[in-house]
This record gives sequence, C-alpha cells and structure tokens, in this order.
Amino acid sequence: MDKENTNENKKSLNQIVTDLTKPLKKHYGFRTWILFLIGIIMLGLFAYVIQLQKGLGVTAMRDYVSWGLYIASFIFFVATALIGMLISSVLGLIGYKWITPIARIAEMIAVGFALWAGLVIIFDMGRPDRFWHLFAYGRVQSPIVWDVTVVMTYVAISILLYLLPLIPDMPFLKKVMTDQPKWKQKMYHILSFGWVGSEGQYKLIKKLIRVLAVLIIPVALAIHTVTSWLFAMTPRVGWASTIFGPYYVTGAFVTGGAAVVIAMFIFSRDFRLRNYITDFHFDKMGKLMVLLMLVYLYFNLNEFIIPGYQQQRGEDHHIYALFQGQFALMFWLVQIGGMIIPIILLLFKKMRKPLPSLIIGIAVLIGAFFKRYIITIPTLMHPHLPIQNVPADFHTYWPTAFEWSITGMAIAGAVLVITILAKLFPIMPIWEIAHEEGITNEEMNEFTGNN
Amino acid sequence: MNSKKITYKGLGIVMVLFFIFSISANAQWNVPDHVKNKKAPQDATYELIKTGKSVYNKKCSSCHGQPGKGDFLKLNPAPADFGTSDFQDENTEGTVFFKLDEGMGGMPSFKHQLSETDKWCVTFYIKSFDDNFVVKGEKSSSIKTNLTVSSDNETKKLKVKAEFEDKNENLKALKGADVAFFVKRYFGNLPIGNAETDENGNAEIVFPDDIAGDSTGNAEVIIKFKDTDAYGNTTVTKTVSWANPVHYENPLNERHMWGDRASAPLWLLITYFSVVLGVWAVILWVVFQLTRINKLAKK
Repeated sequence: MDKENTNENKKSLNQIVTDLTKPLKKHYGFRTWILFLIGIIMLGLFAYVIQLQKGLGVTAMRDYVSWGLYIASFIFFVATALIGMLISSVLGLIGYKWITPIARIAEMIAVGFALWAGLVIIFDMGRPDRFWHLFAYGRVQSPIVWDVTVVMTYVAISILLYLLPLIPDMPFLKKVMTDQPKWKQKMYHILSFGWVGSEGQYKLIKKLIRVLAVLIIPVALAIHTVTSWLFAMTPRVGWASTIFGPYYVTGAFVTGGAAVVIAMFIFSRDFRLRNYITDFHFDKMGKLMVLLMLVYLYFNLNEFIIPGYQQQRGEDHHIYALFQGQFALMFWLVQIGGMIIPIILLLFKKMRKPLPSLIIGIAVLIGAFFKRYIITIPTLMHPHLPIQNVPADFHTYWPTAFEWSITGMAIAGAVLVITILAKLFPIMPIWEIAHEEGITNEEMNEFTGNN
Repeated sequence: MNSKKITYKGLGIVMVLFFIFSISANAQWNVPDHVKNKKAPQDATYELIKTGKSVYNKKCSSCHGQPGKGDFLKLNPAPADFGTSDFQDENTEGTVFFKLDEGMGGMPSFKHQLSETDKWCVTFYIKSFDDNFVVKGEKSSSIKTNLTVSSDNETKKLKVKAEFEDKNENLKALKGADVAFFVKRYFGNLPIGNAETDENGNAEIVFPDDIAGDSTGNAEVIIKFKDTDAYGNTTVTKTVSWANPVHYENPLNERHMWGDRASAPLWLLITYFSVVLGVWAVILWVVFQLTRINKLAKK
C-alpha cells in the first residue's frame, strides 16, 4: 500500500471513531430523557411499595385471573430479548454483513429486556421475600424452575455477548475519552482486559464470540419455549397447545424485530449516525420483518383455526370470546393492526424507508404487547367449571393503576438500561466497522498507540 | 275461558298465601303475664328430658333444627334456636309451654297433638339448654361403667365384659346392655356387629373375615355402649391380627413427574442437570478465557 492510500484509510478510521464516540460525550436532551425515565420508575416504585405493604389485592387479579398484566409483560419482555440471538448470532453466523452496525443494538435490547424480565416475575409475587424458596424447595419437574434457570442463563450469555465485542473497542475509548471522568476511564481500562490488538487476541476473541453465538441459539430457543410451556403444560383451553413453543419463538422475533427497528431509528437520528444506519439497513430489516411476520401469521393460523373449526366443548367459549365476544376488539386490532397490515405495508419499498418503518414498528410492538395480554387473560376467564357464587370482581379483569405503573416502571427500566449502555459504550463495534471499511489491525493499533 | 279460570285461581292462591305470609310475618307472641311464672306439675328429671328429646326430634326439629346448631329452616320469621341464651333469657318454662301449646302463625299448636306429659317433657328438654335450669336426680349416664375385652384367636371371637360400679364402688355385671363393635378405618369407624350382654355382663361377636387390615393383617377394634345416654362413652379398643393383610403401594414413593423433588424422574434429572452444567461450563470457560487476553498481548 502506498502512503496516500494509508492516509485516506486513517482519516476514515478517525471519522469512524469520532462519529461513534461523539454521542458518548456531550449530548443535548440526555438529562431530560434520563429524568423522564427515572420519573416513571419512581412512580412504579411507589406503586410497588404499596403493593408490598397491602399485598396483591391492589391489583385486579383475583381467584380466576391470577396471571394478569405482569405475566403478560413478562412474556413480552422475554420475547423482546430474543432478538439478540436472531440478529447477532443467527444472521451473523450465516455471514450477513449488513447486521454489523445493528448487532450491538439488538444485544443491548436483549440485555435490557432480559434483565427486567426476571424482575417482572418478582413483581407478580405476593411474597417476593420467599423467592429463594424456588432454589431451596423447587422441583426439577416444574416448568417454573426450568424457566428461572433459562432466564438466568440467557441473561448471562447476553451480557457476555454484549461485553466480548466491546473489548477491542476499549483502546479507542481509552484514547478518545480522555476528557471524561476518572471512573469512566478506569472502567474502560478494566474492561479492555489488556487488549492491545495482537493477532492472538483477535483470534481468541473471535473464537469466544463464535462459541457464545452458537451456544445462545439453543438457550434462546429454550428460554421462550419454556416460557410457552409455563402455559402449554397447563391443561387449559387456549394454552394446552402443542405448537405453543414455536408460536412463542416466532412471535418473539417479530416483537424484537420491531424493537430493533424503533431503536435503529432513534439511534440513527439522535446519535447522528445516518451514514452508518442507512436506508439500506431499514430496507433489510423491513424485509426480515415481513419474513418473520409471515411465519408468525402461519403459526397464528394454526393456533386459532384448529380449535375454531373443531369447536370442542370449552374451547368454543374461548374462541367465541376472542373472535366475537368480550376480547374481539383487542384480538382483531392486534391481529390485523399488529400483523396483517404491517406485512402488507412492508411489502412496498417506500414503506421500508426509516420513518414509515418506525411507525409500523411501533404498531407491531404495541400489538405484540397486547397479544401477550390476549394469550394470558382470556384463558383464565374460561375455567373448566363455570364461575359462580363468587364476588362480582372475580368475573372481570382489567389492570389497575398499580399494575400499569409497575409495568411502566419495568418498560422504563429496560429502556434505561439500554440508554445507559448507549451512553457508556459505542452502539456499534468500532473495530468491526473499521474492518469492513478495509482498515487493518495494524492501522487500528497505530491509531490507539498500541504498536 | 279455561285459562282465565286458572288465572283467577292462581291469583287467589297467591293472595291467600300473601295474606298468611303477611300475618305470620307481622304477628307477635302475645304471652299473658300469669303463664310466665307457671311451673310444671312435677320437677324436671333427666329421664323426662330424654323423653322430651325424642319427642322434639320427631315433632320440632324439622323446623327448629338441633338446639345450638343454628340449622333451623330459613323461614320468616325464623324459627327460634333454643340453644341461644337470647331465647333462654326471654322464655321461662311457662312461656315455652304456652307457645308450643297455642302456636302462632307458622308455628302450629300442639294442644291436641301431644299429651300433657309430652308437652312438659319437650319444655324440659328445651329449657335444659338454659344453664340455670334445675334438674332433679342424677344423670343416668353418670353411673360408672367398665368394659374389658378379650379375644380368642382360634374362633376369632371378640368377647367383652360390661360392668358397672354400684353405690359401694363394687364392680357388678351389667346385663341387658347393647354393645357395638367397630373397626377403625381411615375415615370413621366401620360397624361390624352388635351384641347384648347376658346376666354375667358378657357379650361376643365373631370377627368378620372380609375386613382389610394393615400390611401384617392388624386391625383396631373399638367397642362401646350403644346407649351412651345410659352408660356413658366408655370405650375399649383392641388390636387383632385377624384382618386380611393389604399392601398399599404409595405412588409417591416412586419417581414420577408429579412426585416431590426427591422423587423426580431420573431421565429428567439427568437431562436437566447435564444441560445446565454443560451450558454453564461453556459460559465459565469463556469468562476464564478473558484472562488470557492479557497474556496474548505479547505477540
């Protein structure tokens, strides 16, 4: 390589580092955003303290509907977290290059939502102080024990899969973030694990990432399959379905995909990274969403047309409540507005542009949230024996302000985790982007002073 | 035409019922003062109360239920529960007699239905739930009885000897008493026979050959007097080994999906722990490998 060419590359690397580290420094409106999130969390915390004092009676959950908004949110959180596996692992292993700038965003979403999924479960407990009983007295035969196991495992692998690709970025941060507080610089130093960009180190880190990327596929499938088994192992109408595992997993990809599209839009605008997350990436994500939603639609068809056609005793009430009865409005809004219309719209190239993608993504995400509501609550209102001789409030369920506040806290909490990660570390892997731009390891080492 | 007639008839019945109902609902007991202090021609005794109880059970309990249980019919006005102190405080012996004699509203009159003695007996029974009610004589059940049991392994006979203490505290044979035999079961006692004591106070039955016992064929026999009012709750038990041995298989002792945590199926334990340990071994290996980054810094 001649000198001129090297110079050009160097400038490019300089550009990459500047673009990606700039949002980590001064950031207009960041403080307001953090205060907003903390405000929601404080409100939820206040509600949770009252719930702890007075018990779960402050929720609308009663004897029949004993799984309410919290459990619906739990499935939603686990579902959203699953996207980390699909994008950074499956698509990465296949060798798709376009996921490079969004893989870390997907992993941040995975970490944030998986962490809070575990907390949402605790919000649903009447006696959270007895959580440790699960480990002391839990039965291996219980899907709840399996669920706790896989959630913890998934959180661990997600954190590692977020952390490992960060390591080669640390020398850049050490070099550029010298104007930042001491604790930040110290953190960058510790998290670099002594990275200098040697050949052996690159070999090792790539191997470790590949091992985890393979490992997370069965674990991610397990986490959501086991979540679905919490329902499917219970012989209740609407739950006892043999396709519940894949039904949940495909639904999760749709949910997480929508979350990634929304995050892509916000980060590319707010972090001024339009040159990195381009229309091309939105187009790709749009196409991916169509594929995922078509698979999900196929599972929906199976899930509802078979009991709908059979009209077995017990199932008939449930199907009627969903199709024409009490839950019909929510059901059809979710199915048509959150799935069928987005599929049709995303078939058009114009609709895969950033702004239409964002709007469709929001519709899909809201639909996905209430889809979990539709899965959880109607079944509980159709028990095997008729509901009779019980207080009036046992017959109905609509979440109370306490449940909405605490769920709001969980969502704000997950977004807060993502926000903090995005403020501490670059949202894209500098070294991988540099590699794609044709910048060699030596040039990067020269930049960081590790030569 | 016809349907109109039926309508009028129906209307008439409804109105009559309504009339009766409104009378009964509004009526008050009108008890003259002089009856309140009226006394029975004889003192109350436990014998008479016992007679009153059997009459009460035939004639009164269908509406009033058992005193103190609150199981009276839900009518308006509600039939009184005689076990309550409210009732006992308000109603003297004479008042109770007057009320069952005269009747009122839903409560029928027993003036011509019961003999004078029976009416007083019922009154005594009802008033016996008043703590201050005075009963003369001794409770017949207060005699001290004794049961001793013996068994004959060859004939599988259960023999029981019933005795009572006389005034000098000597045990004497109790004859003509019905003795009931039971086998203790998981829920309640299974009656296996009755016998009357002879003049020596002896009674016996043959143990049935179709009784299920424990794994060694043991069964516990319970023997008591049938007439507990007369002879008290004297009970004697004996374990005999004449029952048929039954081997119970407790499904919880085996490994099952529905078992407790100690009896989880082996395949599940192996699957669960091998998967969990395998995955976490890889995770820990990756974490451990991070320490190698520093070593690999020297090219």
